[in-house]
Order: sequence, then structure tokens, then C-alpha cells
Amino acid sequence: MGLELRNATKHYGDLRALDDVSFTVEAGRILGFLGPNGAGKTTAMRAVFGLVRLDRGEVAWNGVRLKPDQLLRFGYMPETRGLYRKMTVRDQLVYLAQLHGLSSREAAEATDRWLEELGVLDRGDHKVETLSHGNQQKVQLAAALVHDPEVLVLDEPFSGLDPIGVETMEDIIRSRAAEGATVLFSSHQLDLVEGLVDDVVVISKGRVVLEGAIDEVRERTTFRRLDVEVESSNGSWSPNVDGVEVTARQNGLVRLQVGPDVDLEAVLKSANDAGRVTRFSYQPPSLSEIFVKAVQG
Amino acid sequence: MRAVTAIRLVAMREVRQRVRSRFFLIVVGITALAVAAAVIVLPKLLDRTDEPPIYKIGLVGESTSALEQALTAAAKASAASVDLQRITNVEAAETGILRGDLDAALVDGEELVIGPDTRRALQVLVSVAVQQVRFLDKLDAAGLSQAQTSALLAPSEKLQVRELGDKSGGLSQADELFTIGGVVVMLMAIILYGAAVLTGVVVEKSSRVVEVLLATLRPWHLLAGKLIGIGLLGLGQVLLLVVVGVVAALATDAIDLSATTLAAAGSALLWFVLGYSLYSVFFATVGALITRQEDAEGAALPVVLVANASLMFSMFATLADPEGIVLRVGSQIPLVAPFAMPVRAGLGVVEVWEIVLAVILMLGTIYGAVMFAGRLYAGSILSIGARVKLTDAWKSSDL
Repeated sequence: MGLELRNATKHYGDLRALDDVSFTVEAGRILGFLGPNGAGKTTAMRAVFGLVRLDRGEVAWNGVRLKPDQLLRFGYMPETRGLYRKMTVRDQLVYLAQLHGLSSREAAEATDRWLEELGVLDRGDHKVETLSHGNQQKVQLAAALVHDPEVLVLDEPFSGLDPIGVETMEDIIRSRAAEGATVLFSSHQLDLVEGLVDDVVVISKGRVVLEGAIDEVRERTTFRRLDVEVESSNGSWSPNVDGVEVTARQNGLVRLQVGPDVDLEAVLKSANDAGRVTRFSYQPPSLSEIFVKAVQG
Repeated sequence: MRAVTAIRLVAMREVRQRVRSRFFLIVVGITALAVAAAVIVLPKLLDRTDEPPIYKIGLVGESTSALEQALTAAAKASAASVDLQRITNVEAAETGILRGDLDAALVDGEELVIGPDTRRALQVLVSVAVQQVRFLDKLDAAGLSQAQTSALLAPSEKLQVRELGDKSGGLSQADELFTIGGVVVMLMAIILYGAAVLTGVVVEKSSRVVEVLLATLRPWHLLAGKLIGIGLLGLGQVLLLVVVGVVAALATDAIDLSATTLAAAGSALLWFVLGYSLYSVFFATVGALITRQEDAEGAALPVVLVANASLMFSMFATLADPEGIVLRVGSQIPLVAPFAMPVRAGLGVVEVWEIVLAVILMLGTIYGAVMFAGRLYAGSILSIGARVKLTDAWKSSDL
């Protein structure tokens, strides 16, 4: 149940933008749709709204093929932001709410509610083009939210936001999901989404390379991260243990990638031999490490 | 959402946004004033053939009251009148003629001085009068009594005049002027509102708002709503111009409110709706094929040229022969009909079956254009490159 892409395939000439992509955004959960630039994220999201006609495959909602009328209950924030620049913020949001089936009164009420929530109520009667970049982003988000959609599809919602904007966006995504909305959003800023998503799908060159609940994905990974600091070694220490690989050296810190059944005792002993160990931290990989590993194969 | 609701919302937005623009209101106001001014002023600049001309004739040197009477009588006979002025010398008379103060000067009853624009009718009139006076003088010299002379000159029975051909629907210069002016206004309205459609499409595409819209709307909802909304405004403006034109014309007695006038006004509205519908679909399509506003002018050019050529054809064909086969056939061509048909209706030289046929051909063409251009529109409205190739737009019609 929820929003499904089933075997979505799309070619642009010789370019295979989507290659048999299937995944499900479970109702009421937040799915992070990750992948490098040009991986096919935007094509997949556009396909949800029928903006891209798939060569093969389909989009389903709660188990049945998505019907155009159901899109009225969807909210969309495209990657390339777009609003009528000469229209006032309020007129614009009321219009978009009406296009999603709200009556003019409901639309006006919802518009004011969202403008207040996003802190731009005082900009309601200004033309969009007179707004700061940050406020335009808020209006764009309001445009996706104004009809209280059941499904939110946000293409790169964090791009171009300052840290406060990022926090506001995270709060809204969380609160919408808490109220039962299904959220699909794409990003390549992996550190931002790590604490936000329930599930992830990683796509590369049009193919899904990794998917699942984030905790599960972490568990499933076949490697761990080990950070070690050895005093007076200037970060030049190297462990002499099988299955250990140095991935980074920075300010005396040596970051290692190790297999799940590595002999930690041996690594620690090797470090102790080199000098006084001030840090020895063993943890699951970060989302970006998982991502890089998945994308690079 | 029902298609009707979606289209209505799109159309309403177009109307509301434009009516709120001060620029739009100013343009509407200025064009209404211009039409009123043209209707009131232009006929006065024209030589009105149905008004009796007044010839200003300078009399230099010797002149008798008999000559003056003869001139007045001759003028009356040819449905004109004369304004006779005594001029002291030939030089003054010549200056007066060249300045346009006088139409001609008669020197000593012997010589007629005329200017480059003096009408032949005036020359005839003066020579008739002079001949008459000389004839009277000869009669006098022959010793005829006053009574005999009078008897000779007594008006005989008036000459019977029989006119051939049917002059009903005859074209005065004013009629032609109003008709041609009306069609030029029609061209301007179609291009103005067609260009508004093009700009609207380009604005949505270049600002990328179209992607937000098409997430809920089908492309043809957006296209139809836009065409209808802008079309309603255009129709409103043309209606306003027609009313202003007719009221101004009636107020200044430039035209009579005849059946022909009403038919012409109705025809103007009908052909605006049809012409706008056809041309605006093409404007919308070229708008969808480009992305940047600075390309709009170049993209619009082919459509504007076709509209202008159609207007030119209609005008020249009308001037050549308003009832000729060229105009009759040409006015059935859908791209030409919006300009040619109102001309023919304005001149009262069109038959009902011709109008019906032209409307049917027009509606068929509009349907075909909507299907063809609608697909190109849908195939290109979401693409972001510099300019979309027609074939790509046709093939990649995703929507």
C-alpha cells in the first residue's frame, strides 16, 4: 500500500533515464530518494504526475493504477521551482488550491493558514518577484502544501535553503508525515536527510541499487566505520590487519573501513604499538558512505 | 476535477490578472478613444460627395450682374452653389487660387484662371454661364425685344434622366472607410490577443510554473482555459469598440443605423471570435516551442505575417472589385475569412450561403488546428531546451 512505481522504464533517445525502477513509499512514511545528479530521480518523480509518459511500467496508489483525479490529493514541488512572478502570493496560492479542488473559501482559509505557518503572512499581497529567495522557496513549499495533500512529492526540497530554512523544511515534512501524509523526497545532500527519512531508495544510472528502511539498510551493510586517533603519530599510523582499509586521514584522525567480523583487538593493539590511542570509535557507516558504496558498486 | 471546472478556473485567472493590470485598462481606454475620434474626424476629412459643393469664384475686372446671375443659376442647375468674390487684380486672384482661398477666377468675363486641383465641373459651369451671357448679348444686338428674349429663354420641360444599374448597397467613401478601418481593428485585435496568448504561454514555460500546473491540469485544460480567458477579454474589447464606433457614427450622422450596419457589426464580432480562435492556437503553439521571452517576437513573426498578408489580400481585392470572384473565393479560405468576410458584410455584398460555408470551413479548420497544435503544445510545453524542434514536439507528446 502507498505510492508505488512498478517497473518504470523511460528512454530519451539512447539515454536510459529509468530502467525497470520499482519501489514503494509506504503510506504515512518518509522516503528519501537518493542518487547522484542525472540518476533519474526527477524523471521518476515527474512520472508520478504523468509529466513523463513511461515507456513501460506504471504508478500505483494503494495497490491500483493511479488515476488523474487522485493527483488532486497529491502535492508536488518540482526541482526547477516555478511560480507566476507577477501574481501576488495570496492569489497564486488560492488559485493553486482551487485547481486541487478546494472551494474559493476553503482555498482562502488554507492559504492564510499556510502563510502564517511558514511566517510569510505579511507577504500575502506582495508579488512573488518582489520576495527574497528564501521567501519564494517558502511560497513554493506552500504551493505544494496548500491543499493538505495525502501524498507529498518534493524534488530536492533542501536545495538552496539556509540552515534555518532546512530546519523549517524538516519540521514540516515530519509534521505532515505525523499527520498521516506519505512523503517522497529526493536529495543529494545525504547528511541532511539522514535523521529525517524512514526509508531510502538509492538510484544510479536509472536503476535502483539499494532500498529499505534506513536502520535495516545500515544493518545490512557489509562494512563498518572505525575512527582511530593515535597521539604523536601525525595521522601516519597504518594498521597491519587483514580486511582493514584506510579511507581518510584528517587532523591526526585515521578513518578505516572494516569488515563486520574484523579482529578489533588486533587493530587496537596495532594502534597501541604506534602510540597512545586517544580515540577508537566503531560504528555503522553513515548514509553517505552507504550511498557511495552502493553507487560505485 | 471536471474538465469544465479546470478550464473555468484557468480562464478566470487569465481574465482577473489582466483586468487588474493598469496597462491593460489604459490600452482598452486609448483604443476606444481612438476609434471614436476616427469615426468623428475622418469623414470630415473626406470630400463628401453627397453634399453640394460650394465653388469660390473670384471676379476680376469687368463683370455684369447678368454674368453673376448666370453663374448662380448654372451652379444651381448642377446642384452646386457659388460664392462670388470681387478681386482687385489678376495677381491677387492667382495668389488666392494657389493658396486655396479661391477655386477659380474669371477675368473680365473673358478668361478663366484655374488651379491644379480645380474641378472640371466648375469649368463647365463657368463656360455655360459665360456662353449664356454672350448669347443674350447677341440676342440683344440682334434687336430682339425683352419679351422675345424672355420667351426664348423660358425654361423648357426638364430633361428626363434614367439611370441604369442597381445602386442599392452602393459604396460611399465613408462606408468603405468604416469597413476597412473595422478590418484593421480586427487584425490588431487578433494579433494583440494572439500575442497575449503567446506571452502567457512563454511566461508559464519560462517561469517553470507550468510544471506545477500540469501536475494537476491536463495540457489541454491549460491551453483551452488560456485561450477562452484571453478570448473573452478580446471579445469584450471588440464589442466595446464596435459599440463606441456605432454610437459615435450615429451621433455625428456619419452613417445610418441600417440593417447593413448592424450586420457588419455582428459580422465583426463573429469573425473576431473565429479568427482569434484559429490564430491564437497557432500563437500558443509557437509560444510552447520556445522557452525565453526574448525569442517570442521571432516566433510570432510567421503567424503575424500570415495575418497581415490575409488582411492585405482582403483590402486590395476589395478595392479592385468588392464583388469580384477573387474576393468571393478568397473569403472562403479560413486564414483569410476573418478579414475578408467582415469587409464583404460591411459593404453588404455577401450572401447568406457564403457566410454559412465560410463559418463551416472555419470551424473545421479550428478543430484540426486544435488537434494538431494541441499535440505540439503538449509535446513541447515541458521541455526546457532553447527551441523545441517540431518533429520532437510531435513525437514526444508525453501528455
